[in-house]
This record gives sequence, structure tokens and C-alpha cells, in this order.
Amino acid sequence: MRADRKAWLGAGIVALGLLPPVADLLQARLPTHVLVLLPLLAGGGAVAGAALARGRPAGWTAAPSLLAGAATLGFWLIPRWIDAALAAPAVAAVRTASLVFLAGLPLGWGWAQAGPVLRLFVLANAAAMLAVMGWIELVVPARLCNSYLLADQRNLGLGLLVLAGVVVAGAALRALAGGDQADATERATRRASPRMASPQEPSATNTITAGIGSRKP
Amino acid sequence: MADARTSAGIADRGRTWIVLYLATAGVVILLMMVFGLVMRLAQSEWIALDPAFYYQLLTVHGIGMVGIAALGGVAVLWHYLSAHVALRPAALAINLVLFMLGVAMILWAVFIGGFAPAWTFLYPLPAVGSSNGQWQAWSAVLDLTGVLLIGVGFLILCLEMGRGIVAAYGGLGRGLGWHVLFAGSKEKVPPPTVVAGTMVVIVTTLALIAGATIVAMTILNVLFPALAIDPLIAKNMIYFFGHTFINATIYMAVVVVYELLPRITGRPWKTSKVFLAGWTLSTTMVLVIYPHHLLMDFAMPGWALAIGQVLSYVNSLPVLVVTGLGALAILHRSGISWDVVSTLLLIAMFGWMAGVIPAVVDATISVNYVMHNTMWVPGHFHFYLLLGLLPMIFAFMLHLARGEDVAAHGGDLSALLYLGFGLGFVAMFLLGGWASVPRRWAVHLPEWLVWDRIAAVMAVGVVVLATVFVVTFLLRIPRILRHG
Repeated sequence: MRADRKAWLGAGIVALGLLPPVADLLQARLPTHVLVLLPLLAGGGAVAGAALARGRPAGWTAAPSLLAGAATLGFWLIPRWIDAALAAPAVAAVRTASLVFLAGLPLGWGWAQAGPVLRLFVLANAAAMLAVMGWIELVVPARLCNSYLLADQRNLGLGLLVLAGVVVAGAALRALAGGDQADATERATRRASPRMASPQEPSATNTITAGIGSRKP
Repeated sequence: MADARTSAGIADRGRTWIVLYLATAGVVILLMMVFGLVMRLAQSEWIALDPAFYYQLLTVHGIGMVGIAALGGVAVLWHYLSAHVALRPAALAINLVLFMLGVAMILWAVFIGGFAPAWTFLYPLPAVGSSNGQWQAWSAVLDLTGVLLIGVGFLILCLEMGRGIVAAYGGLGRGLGWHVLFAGSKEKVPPPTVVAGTMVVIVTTLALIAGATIVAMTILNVLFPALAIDPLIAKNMIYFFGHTFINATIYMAVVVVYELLPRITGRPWKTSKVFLAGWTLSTTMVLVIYPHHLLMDFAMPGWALAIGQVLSYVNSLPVLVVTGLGALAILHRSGISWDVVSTLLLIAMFGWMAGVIPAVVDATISVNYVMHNTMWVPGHFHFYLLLGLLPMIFAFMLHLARGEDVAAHGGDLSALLYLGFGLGFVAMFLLGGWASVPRRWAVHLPEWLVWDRIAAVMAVGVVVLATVFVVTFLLRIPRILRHG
């Protein structure tokens, strides 16, 4: 898909999340608010960010972009701001703008620029933090968001735990299967570090022969 | 870093970092051994030690040995794996920096802050110790943050090794040889080092994610005690992380056996379907056998305990059989001239195999009820760490120290003495367990001192011989770096 079409796709995803009936429906319950609406807004920005990164290699921007995006996303996950966005349209507007441009866009850009190690590092940390957040939602005895019931909070906790498991399982299955990822990985590696350590020779043999007979004088 | 040099026909492997890893591992191993010796001397009543300080030593000895086993093991694995797949030494550098930072934080937390709940930091000890004044809350947070940093470093290292394997072989499944095992392919058959490396990447990464989660939860619990953790879930997560991580260290280091024995004997180590099946089975089982640490937790589901017992019986067998029989097949009538390196490798195989036996005994539920909180358990893990893992790392150090020359150089007596003292030391733990001596006690009854005192004497021998191996390596570092 062409970059400009992807940018439009991203805008479409954001617009879908902002449609009054959809937004109202999703904001009616805490799990759908956090697990569907916020990802829609950030996801739309991320699609556009990834499209922008196409043809603009800048590997050094990957980590800062992902960090900035994650920090913004983390801010809007704070219960106090979830409540504020429901109570004040101005805060909701700021949230929408920042989730699209300060969370989604840098996340999409950074993800596209990142190599496989950084991507998996992000996923591993995301899984761990999703699990921790899920545990907090489950064990805190009081309501964290004034706008939602305790039952919603517990459901969100379970949802976050399931999401953590899905992230780990998905990444593990993808790494096990490899496939075309291997070629992309190799290209990314060579682009990132042309002076990296290189293997002695391709291991196309089924025996360990490397080094045999290579005794030093 | 001057990593572009080559050695023995094998290209750049981040040699300078490997040497730094081994030097760090060697020095810390000796330090941790001395801490262990001091604890045994205190239990023997030959020296007086404040019990609070004993538990600080116990905590540092435990976490230090686990961390350094991983550091030494990963040095071995990286060295040989990078001969088969392209790896970036920057990951080694990042890991070492994070490791050093983490170690400094842990030492500060333990010796300045008094944090001493043993390396397993079992819930609710970190918070309880803080609230009843045994240690400051900041020390618990500092220690656990240090553990977190060390975990992050190893995670980056694992991901880099995984990336290299995926790039070279097309996926971690192919790194385990599944295309050979299940589809009969003969393309890009992974050598044993790649198979072991793939297994390590998979199990260690999963363990570290679980570890990061429970460490973060524990930190939050220390800071906000209202955030209670289900004790059973906490214990499950800690042992899934800890048991898998320490198991993986021996799978990292065993690569030296796969690589060196063929070079010493001139016989190749073939990747057979049996070999691949063994490693695949162990990859799966090592992730699910940790419940054998929870056999005394009555609230655990019965099926989980059954899995813990049954799979503990069979988990080690596949890799042990393919590795042990493979080593024996290579050695049989090979005309090998034994020296310190080859003898240490053989001791390692023995230590690994024999060390599993007391582990399997303890994994039997009816035995576990009686033995698990006795010296039997430290007996089992000292067996395969002291006589399985460490000889592999020492052999690798000495191999590098002699310029990777595989000709026999003598010195096998020192290896045999190490075996003798090591066996004596470990036997005292096991006999202590047989006599129902409890583990993790700073003060022992007079009836138990006989085991402690013999163990202390044996420990002196172990420390002396380990010092000989490590110092030999340290003295050769300039030569290793100069000549490769």
C-alpha cells in the first residue's frame, strides 16, 4: 500500500474512534475505553507514522520515538486523566490530539525504524508492564477511576493480563516461525551495523568441523 | 574495541568483551566462594558471625552465583555461537554495563541497607522485612531494581542472539532443527551450538519477562503495601523465572563440550535427529518443571504438582542422554591425552549428570515433604553448579589462556583434586540433608557440626583450586588480547 493511502487509513481509524456513537459506546465501559478506544486513536497515528517512515531510514530515531510514544500513552492511562477526559471536552480534545500525534505517530515511526532487537525488547517490556497494570487493576481495593465501577476495573485487569499473554505468545510464535522475517532481519542488521561480527562460514554442514585441525603452532 | 582479530580460524567474536566477561566471572566466583566458605565456617562454629550478616552473605552468595553463572555461561555461548551466526558485540557491552550497575546496587542494598531475604526475594519477605525494621524499604527497592537492570541486560543479549539465529537460519524453530526433525530437510542443519543457543534464547527470554513482572510487582508492594500479591502466584512467577534462568546457564556453558571435545579428539559431533529431539523436549519441559519447588505448597493444584514431579524425572534426560552419550562416543578409543581442560570437561559431564540425581529424588513429592527444607537441596544445586557448570567455565578459561591450542598440556591433577574436594564439599550438604539438617540456618546444633566442618575443609580446597584456574586465566589476559 502506498504511503499516502496508509496515512489516509490512519486518519480513517482515528475518525472511526471519534464518531460519536462509537466513542460513546466505547467510553461506556472501562475495558473498551482502555483496550479499544485508546488503541484506535494511537493506532491511527501509528499507521500514519509508519507510512511517513517509509523511504526515510533514520535508525537512531527509533528508540527516542518509541520512548516518547510510550510515555505519552502511559500518561493517558493514568486513571485521573481517563476521568478528566470524560468530564471535560477540552481535555478529551487534547487527549485525542496527543494520542494521535505524540503517541501514535512516534510509535509508528519508531517501530518502522527499529531493528528486530529493539522491537522485541519493546514487546517484552510491554508484556511485563501490561501484566503489572493488570495486576494493579485487579488488586486495588478502591475504584481507580471515579467514572467506572469496580467490576469494570476488574474486567480491565483481566483484559490487560490476557493482552500480555497474547503479546508474548504472538512474538514467540513469530520468532519460532521466522519466515520472511529472517531476510528482513538480516537486511536490517547489515544496514544498522556493517562492521558487526561475522560468522566463520555458513553452517550448511550437519557436523561440527569448524576449527578442527586448526591448532595453533 | 579491537574485536576484528581472528583466532584459530574463527572470525571476530567480540573477543575483548568475552575476556572481560570471563575475568569478571572469575573474580566474582572466587569472591562468592569465599562468602560461601565464611558461611560454612560460621555454621561450624569456627568463626563467630552475626546471624544478620550471615543472611546478608547468603543473599549475596545466592544472587551473585546465579548472576555470575549466567555471565560466564553467556561468554561461552557467545564465543562459539558467533562462529555460526553473525552477532553484534555491542549487546555484550550493554549487558556488562547493566550487570555492573545492577551488582553495585545489590551490594549497596545488602551490605549498607541490610536487605537479606535470600536471592529468591519470596513474597512477602521484602515488604515484611521493611515494615518490621530488619532492613530499610529503600534497600529492598534498590536490590530489586538492581535485579531488574541485570535482567534487562540479559534480555538484550538473548534478543541479539535470537536475532542472529533467525537471520541465519530463518526462525528459532529452524534453529532448533525442527525442519530436520519434522520435515526431514537436510538444508541448513543447525550445529549443536546453534541448537543449544536457540533453546537458551527461548527459555531465558520467557523467564526474564516473568521475572521483570514479578520484580516490578514486588517493588510496588514494598512501596505500597496495600498492593498485595497472591503469595502462590508470586512464588510461581519467581520460580518460573529463577529456576528456568539458572537451568539455562548450564545449557549455555555446555556448548564448550560440544565445541572442544570434537577439536581435542578430532571427531565431529553430529547433529542427529535424536539430538534435535532431545533439545526440543528439554526446551519445552524446562519451562514447566519449576513446580517441583512448590511441592510443599498445599494450595497448588494437584495437576501442577504432578507435572512438577513427572516432568522433573524426564526433563533432564533427553539432553543429558544425547550429550553424555555423545561425549562418551567421541571419547571412546579416541586416544585422547588427558590434560586439565579435557579432564574438566569430563568432570563437568559427570557433575551435570550426577547432580541431577539428588534433584530428581527431591522432586518426588513424598521425599520432598521430608527433604526439601534440608541441606539436601543446596546439595543438589551445588553438585551440578560446582561440578557441572563451573568446570565448563574453567575449561573454557584455560582453553583461551593457552591460545585455544587443543594439544594436551598436562595439569589434569589439579582438575582431579578439584573433583575430589568438590565431591567432598557437596557430599556434606547431601549427608546433612540425610541427617535432616535444615537449610538457610545461620546457627547449627552441635550434632550437625560434623558435616559443616568437613564441608568447610573441603571448601578451602575448592577455593584454592578455583583460584589456580582463575589466576592462570587472568595472568594470560594480555597474551589473549595481544595474540587472539
